[in-house]
Amino acid sequence: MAINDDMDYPRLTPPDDRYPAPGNLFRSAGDLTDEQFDLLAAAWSENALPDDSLAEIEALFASDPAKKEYAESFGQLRLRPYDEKWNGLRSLLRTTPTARIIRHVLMPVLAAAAVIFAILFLRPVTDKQTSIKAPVSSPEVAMAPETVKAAPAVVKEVIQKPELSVNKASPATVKITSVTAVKEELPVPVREQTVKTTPVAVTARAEAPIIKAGIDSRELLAVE
Amino acid sequence: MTVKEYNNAVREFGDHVYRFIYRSIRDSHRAGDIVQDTYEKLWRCVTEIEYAAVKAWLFTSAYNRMIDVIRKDSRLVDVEFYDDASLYAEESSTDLNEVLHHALEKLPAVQRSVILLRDYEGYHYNEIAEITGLTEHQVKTYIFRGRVALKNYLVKTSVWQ
Repeated sequence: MAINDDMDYPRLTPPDDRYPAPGNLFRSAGDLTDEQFDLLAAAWSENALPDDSLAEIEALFASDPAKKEYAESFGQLRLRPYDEKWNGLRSLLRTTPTARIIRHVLMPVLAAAAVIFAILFLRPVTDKQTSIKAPVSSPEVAMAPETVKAAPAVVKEVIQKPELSVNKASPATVKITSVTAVKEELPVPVREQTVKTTPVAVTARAEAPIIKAGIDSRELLAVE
Repeated sequence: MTVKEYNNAVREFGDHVYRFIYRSIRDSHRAGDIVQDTYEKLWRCVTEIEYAAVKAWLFTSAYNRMIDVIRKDSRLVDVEFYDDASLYAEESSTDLNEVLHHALEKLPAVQRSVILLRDYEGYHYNEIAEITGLTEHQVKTYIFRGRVALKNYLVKTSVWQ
């Protein structure tokens, strides 16, 4: 090893030594192991090789078409996603200010308007439908107006109290001088008769006071 | 971001985030909790985030939350390592997508996540790197190694001829 003459900055000068068999170190693409080729093929199938590597592997394919076919099979190794959904996705949604306004203001207003509309416009329709609709009646329970019997006449009977005269000479003798009786017919109270659609028992009996004549025995005893 | 945009983010990306987390940890209850936490966090800073960036923000936040949950819970699969012996189990299904998902479950969580972000959401490597906090080179390595692992699973379980 020579030392240069510059004593201020002495440095080594490399000798001209050579590796005796450099040819043993050179490799070609065909020397790649299977594992190395697999990695190269995987990269090739994804178009991820740089230009110089691409040229080399294509040269290899040219010499061995089976290798190209093998490398192409890597292109089929692609995962396709399944249609998997997450159920909790809706819980992540946030309410926008517009949606909040709609939810808290517009929706109640619209609901109220819908109710008012229904009342105003649908009520006449329902009324009309009920008036058009025939009354529901079944033959066995319907009562014809002619079957309702008229109430009997109410009779007012007025009986005048008998005039009693007692002979003081003979108190045991009681003389009834006169008895008057009046019989008067009262108007029958008229009740509105309607056709009943439900099975009811109708009693067409007018209730009116009937005054009956009678003699109170206490009055007799009060007489001295 | 407005409230309306926030709700759009829920409708548009909620299922995507859930799917990504659920497929990463295979626990619907925990996945739901993580999505819930993520959106709660988004709501707290809703005025500071632009809608254009919200999807990446959601995935980043959910991913970080998921890693926290995985590290706290020893029952879940390790984040970075997996048992190679358990990788190749009996496979009864013949549907390629289903088998691939079975194979995906055998991968470590980080590898699983980057593949899901790539395949499900179509993110580019640099976007996945931003979401996961990895370098772009790491993302590529995880994805390519993941593909090889999926391929080996298919071959070893005789699904792949």
